[in-house]
Amino acid sequence: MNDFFIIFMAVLLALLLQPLIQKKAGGLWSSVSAINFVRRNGTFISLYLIIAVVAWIVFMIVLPQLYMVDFSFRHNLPLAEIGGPNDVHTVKNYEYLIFGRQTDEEWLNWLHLTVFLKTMLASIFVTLLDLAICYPMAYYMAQVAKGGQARLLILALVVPFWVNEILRAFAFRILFGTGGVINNFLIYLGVWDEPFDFLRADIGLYAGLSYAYILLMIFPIFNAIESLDHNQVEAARDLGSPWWRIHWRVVIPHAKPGIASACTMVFMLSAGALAAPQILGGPSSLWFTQVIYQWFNTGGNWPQGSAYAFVLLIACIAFVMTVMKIFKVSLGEITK
Amino acid sequence: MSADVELDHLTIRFGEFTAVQDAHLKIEGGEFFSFLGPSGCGKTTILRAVSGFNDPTEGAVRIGGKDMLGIGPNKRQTALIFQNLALFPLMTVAENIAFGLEVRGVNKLNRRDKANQLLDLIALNGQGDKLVSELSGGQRQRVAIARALAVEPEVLLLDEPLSALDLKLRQHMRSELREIQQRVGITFIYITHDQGEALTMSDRIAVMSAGRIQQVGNGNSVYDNPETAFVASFVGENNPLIGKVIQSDKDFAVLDCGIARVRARNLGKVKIGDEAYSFIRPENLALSPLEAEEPGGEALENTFAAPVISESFEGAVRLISLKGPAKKPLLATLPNTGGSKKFTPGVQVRVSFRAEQAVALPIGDLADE
Repeated sequence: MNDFFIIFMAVLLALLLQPLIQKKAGGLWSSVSAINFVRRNGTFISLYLIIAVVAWIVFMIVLPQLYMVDFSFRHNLPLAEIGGPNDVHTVKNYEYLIFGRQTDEEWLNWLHLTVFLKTMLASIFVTLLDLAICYPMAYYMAQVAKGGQARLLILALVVPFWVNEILRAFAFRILFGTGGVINNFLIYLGVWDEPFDFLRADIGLYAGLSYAYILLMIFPIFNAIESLDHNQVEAARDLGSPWWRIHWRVVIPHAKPGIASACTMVFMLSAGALAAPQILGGPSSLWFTQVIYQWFNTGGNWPQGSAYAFVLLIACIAFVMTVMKIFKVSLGEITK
Repeated sequence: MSADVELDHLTIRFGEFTAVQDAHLKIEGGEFFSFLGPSGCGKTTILRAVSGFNDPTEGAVRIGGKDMLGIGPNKRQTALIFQNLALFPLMTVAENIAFGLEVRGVNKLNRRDKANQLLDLIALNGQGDKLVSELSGGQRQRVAIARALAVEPEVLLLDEPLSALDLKLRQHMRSELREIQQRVGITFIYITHDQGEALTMSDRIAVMSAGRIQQVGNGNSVYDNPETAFVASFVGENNPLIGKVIQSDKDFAVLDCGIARVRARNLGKVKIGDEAYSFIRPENLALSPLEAEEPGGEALENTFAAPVISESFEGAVRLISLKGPAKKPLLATLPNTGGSKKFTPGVQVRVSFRAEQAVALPIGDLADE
């Protein structure tokens, strides 16, 4: 574990020092100032930008993740044995997710695999629900609402998110609980007599997750639709198009990159959410992140936890890439 | 099939702002009709009211005798060509043209046929699979026309469709549009701020200013017999001279304009004692050298002396600006007959014109330059 870190740092250092070693300092200086980027921004600012970005990528993203990858291929050893003869690489943490313990009766680890699959499917559902809710709102804000009205709507969407996540989640418990506002209201209206347990049915969870990522869904789509020339909508209408075909043939094709980028974010974040499932999830259902959390926290088994976390990450990336391929959206487009 | 379009005392307001005030006219079926006016005069609002994107506040729009109130743009037998064309950039040229047919549930094969037919009409055959972005400005223009014609509208509405093109192409497209209109035989309603376009293409023109229709007539009558000061100053170049009417009969009025007495045609609009304009077009001003012996005393009619400010060469004509009674210089154009400049700045010349070529009109707003 430690030697891995040391080797990595050495490589990094070598890369940074290599030009210094190779050339004289004066030569280096003149070649640095010849770079366009440096000439445009000045030496001080360019140095700051390069160092800040490199440091951010290396120390905040690459290194910790590499550390975790390494972790996921090791045994969960007591502190004394780390670095000892037993500290070797293994795939048993990944094996466990699929096959469970060898002593188990079942061939596969159905419990965790089911949770994993359910998490993916539920995240897809949350993403589609968010899309269905947000697309019309985004269209309205971008194409229909007049200047001031659109700003007011954006404000009305953003301000509720000042309420922190935990407070919001517990508020949803009150809203959806058996003694909650919705049940009381529906009983009062006479829709049903016995309170319905929305939380047990995971409706509270889906509602909570959908609401949590509504802004991430709405803004990329809003931006994409806003850049559509309204004349195109009117031209389609003038040529006799009903409203749904205008969306199908003109608005959605134009907004596709925005929709893809929004759906990707919402799907990834839903699949990786922890607080909402902890608070709003029904007693019988687990979110895959909760399993991961248990490995790290209660189980104290970091290698196992990181293996699970990487499976989730890789699966999400693979899924998103596949979907993007199907809908013919390139990675470059969604950054527009 | 072509349909007539009737604006029945049409008024359109947006909040406090009146965009169109009491527009009342009838456009005949098969006519090429233009609305001409500066930007913001309400001409686009009228077009959008005919196509169904704006509702009348008062009055009505009738197409083929039928009141269009409550009938959406997708249900009207009109097709609109947008100023920026609004072609669909993610569709091919053929898909663009056939979009209106796709909407109407025409099957793919027939759509393809119709698109090819229209591509022939606009001389773009074989280019149906290109993207719109691969076409030149003039080609896009023609695709927009084909897309509109594909739905076989009874009225084609054009919102300054040539404004984005360069001069040569614009002139070429004028005759092409006129030709297409005569071939398909449907009603064209054309919006423009470019009087050249309106005069060359239209059967009739409605000149608009500040939401009001100032005058309706063919190109000749609008140019030669303007009914308001706005029309006189907006359509073509014109020199306004302001003065008091001192004499008036059924054909002519005489204005005392200070530097000269101006005898001008009176279209029955000015009376003795009125302050009035007389308009003389630059091409109707004759310039001659000042004779040494000026007849003194009483001022002559329709002639005066004025100093030259400058002379500029514009190809077919020479433009001479002269110091007149108003702040704005008087303009005179002379046909270019070759040779170098003929007028030296500062030199006085004699300006004269015939009474038949001047028009007396009541005071009113002039078009801004």
